[in-house]
Amino acid sequence: MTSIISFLIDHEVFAFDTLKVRNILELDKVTWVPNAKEYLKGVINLHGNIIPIADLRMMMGIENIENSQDTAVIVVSDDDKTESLIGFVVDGVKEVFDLEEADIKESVINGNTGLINTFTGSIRKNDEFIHIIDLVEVVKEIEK
Amino acid sequence: MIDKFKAKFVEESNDNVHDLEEALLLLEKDTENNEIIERIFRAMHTLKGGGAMFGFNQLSEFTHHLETVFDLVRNNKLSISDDIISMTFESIDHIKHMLEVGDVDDQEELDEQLAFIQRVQSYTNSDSPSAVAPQKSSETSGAKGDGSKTYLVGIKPNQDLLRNGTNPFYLLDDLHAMGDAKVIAYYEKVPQMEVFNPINNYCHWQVVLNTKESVNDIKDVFIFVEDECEITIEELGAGNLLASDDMVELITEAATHQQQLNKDVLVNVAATAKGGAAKKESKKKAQLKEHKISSMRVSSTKIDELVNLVSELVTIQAQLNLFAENDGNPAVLALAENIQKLSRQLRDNAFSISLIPLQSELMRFQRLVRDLSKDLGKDIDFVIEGGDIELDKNIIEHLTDPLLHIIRNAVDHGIGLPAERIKNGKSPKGTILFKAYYSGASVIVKVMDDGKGIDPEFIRKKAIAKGLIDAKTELSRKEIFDLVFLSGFSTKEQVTDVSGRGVGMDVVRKKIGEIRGEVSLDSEMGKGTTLTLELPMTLSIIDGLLVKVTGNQYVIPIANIEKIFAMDSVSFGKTFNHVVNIDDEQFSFIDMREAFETEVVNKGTEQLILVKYEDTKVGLLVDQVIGEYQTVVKPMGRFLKKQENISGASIMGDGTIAMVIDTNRLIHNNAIKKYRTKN
Repeated sequence: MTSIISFLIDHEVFAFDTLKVRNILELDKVTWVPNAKEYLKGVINLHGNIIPIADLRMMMGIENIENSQDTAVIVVSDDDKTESLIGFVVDGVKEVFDLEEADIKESVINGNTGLINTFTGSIRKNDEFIHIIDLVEVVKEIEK
Repeated sequence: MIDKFKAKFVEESNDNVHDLEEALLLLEKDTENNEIIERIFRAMHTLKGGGAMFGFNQLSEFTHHLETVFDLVRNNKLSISDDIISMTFESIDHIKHMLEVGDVDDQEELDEQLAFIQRVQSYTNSDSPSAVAPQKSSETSGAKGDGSKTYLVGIKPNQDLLRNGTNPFYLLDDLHAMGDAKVIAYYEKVPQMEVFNPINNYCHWQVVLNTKESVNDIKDVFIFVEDECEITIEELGAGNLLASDDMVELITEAATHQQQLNKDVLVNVAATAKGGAAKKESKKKAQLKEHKISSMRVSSTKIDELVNLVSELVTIQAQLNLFAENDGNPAVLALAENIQKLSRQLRDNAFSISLIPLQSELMRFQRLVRDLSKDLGKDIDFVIEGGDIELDKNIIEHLTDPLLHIIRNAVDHGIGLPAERIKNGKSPKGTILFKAYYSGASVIVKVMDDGKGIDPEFIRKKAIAKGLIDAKTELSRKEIFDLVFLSGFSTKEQVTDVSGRGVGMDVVRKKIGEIRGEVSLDSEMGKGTTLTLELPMTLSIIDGLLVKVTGNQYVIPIANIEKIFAMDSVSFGKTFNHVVNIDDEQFSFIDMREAFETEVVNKGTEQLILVKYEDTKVGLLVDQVIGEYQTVVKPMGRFLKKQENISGASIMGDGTIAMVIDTNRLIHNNAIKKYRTKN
């Protein structure tokens, strides 16, 4: 039994492992950081810690990025350390739900997903495919 | 000096013993766990080695035998039994005792030790450990474990006791009421009838008392006669010692012969009566009591947390000050001032806790120099000056690798072979001087060797050959020496074991940069090379200047700032190729908006901040200077580490973030860019 948190990026549904998620925030003012990668939008102050914000939509190569009321930041940490906290901007958070690991199938993804190429797997729920993003790989990409 | 080391050894060994106990407790639950057995073995090994080094020879010997047992266990030749575990626990107590008393020459103690060692050896000699007779102390049943203790209470009243109306028998009755008691009255001082004064007291008493009450409760009995009596209360041991016949006999004998009892005699009797159990008990008790804590180990995360909290406090306090000044209420102002005073003291205190002397790290280098120079056939003296200079522990941690590299370089490249040195008219023995001293808010560390020195021309040619600079580039002496810090620069042709693997001084600079330090090199041919590190004393709080660049706020450390100029459109008009003329002096400058790759909109109100960069000054053009700000620097986290121009971020009073600019890195990177674009 595992639990995932699903979210929207350009009308498609993706998900993170719930255990890695620390916070979900509204997209507020982000302080821009000079000379950083384009998708790194800057940093925010989260309870006195400086947390970088990466736009997952940009990382996935989405071209028409529009922020709406639903736009959210999912703060995750892949190793539980404060220095590893990072927020991802997504088009909207959907839901948290439990699933059996056996239900996770290999991801079949057609088309361009930009810098995000590795997925833990996909599941089908209510006629929708949910692709679970491999956080470790995303983090590696950002650290490159 | 040696005493200091001994004390340190005992302190560290106590940690080891503690670890040993902890591991043993774990092992008790999980007897097959090899990791735990390894841990125990290691701890014993350390104790053994350390013991021999610091003159605890008996400890060392004892631990050796114990270690042998665990070596067998480790190699699966002996399996862990409850017996071994309890034996080891007892051994640990014995080790503790030995740590406290050191080597002894008291025959009794020695015998005891020998017996213990034989007992330990019995595990290694015998093939079947179960054959070993259980050595559990033969506790007389009921004598122990009821929580009671036996005391020797001495009551010596002065002559005037009776005049105050005190009846000493009531005191004795009170003692009887507390538990089992045997009283001996001493009347040897009672004079002849002729001189006997009935209102004088001539007697004194000794009471062997078994009670569950504490020493303080016994003292309470005498609370009203404290001034007239000399009261002594000595603990003889746990359990009711009066239960033993020997004891009773001894007491009766003492009463008939009017012989004073003393603690040692009683304890001995009790010990023989209880097969040594009681004695050990009292030894252990004494140990528990005498142990005083003069220093303690605190996990470094706790200290980091403290420093962080204090840093927060300093920020908030600055806001409070600002508010109080604006508010103008004298009461608030006074409060704010007091809080400022307190927080300053607290800050100094918290920081001093996290400071440790450089010396602690330097010992290792002394050894390194010795070993390396032997290997290379060189004769080198490593001299330390200012080893007592204290630095933030985080800084010292970051310092080890760079220093290792620098010192290796000095041994390997700097100082030549004795023959070579004699030829150059130097003493065959080379010297590496490590010198540390305070300079303002920073600490300067210099590593100087009196070796061959480096030819600047050689560096220049090498840099050109490696494509690091253009052949036509004019460089100052300082800039040339600075080239060695570029990546991919290693001056030694052949890669040696000791140094010169291509990763070199650039790593040193990077590491030192991480702790906001600076490193520079200077050398004189034939005289030697000096590496200078300039380090901040603490990492978390800096005085900064708040500036604005394209809508964002940044902090520039004030320590680096020389002057601030207004860049009106007139002086701007005179700029050419990023060089500005101010007061008839020319400065190159970096437009921060360009450096940060943002839109450049000249409003004519820009300001130029002149900062120190090595031995020159470089201007930084910003949109606006806001003001001075004492700020707490927070790390940017793992994902922005590569962002060299920014050394951290600071959270402002209103919760917004201002990034702290690392001016040296910024200028360095932009200068590099210039070299590269020229190429």
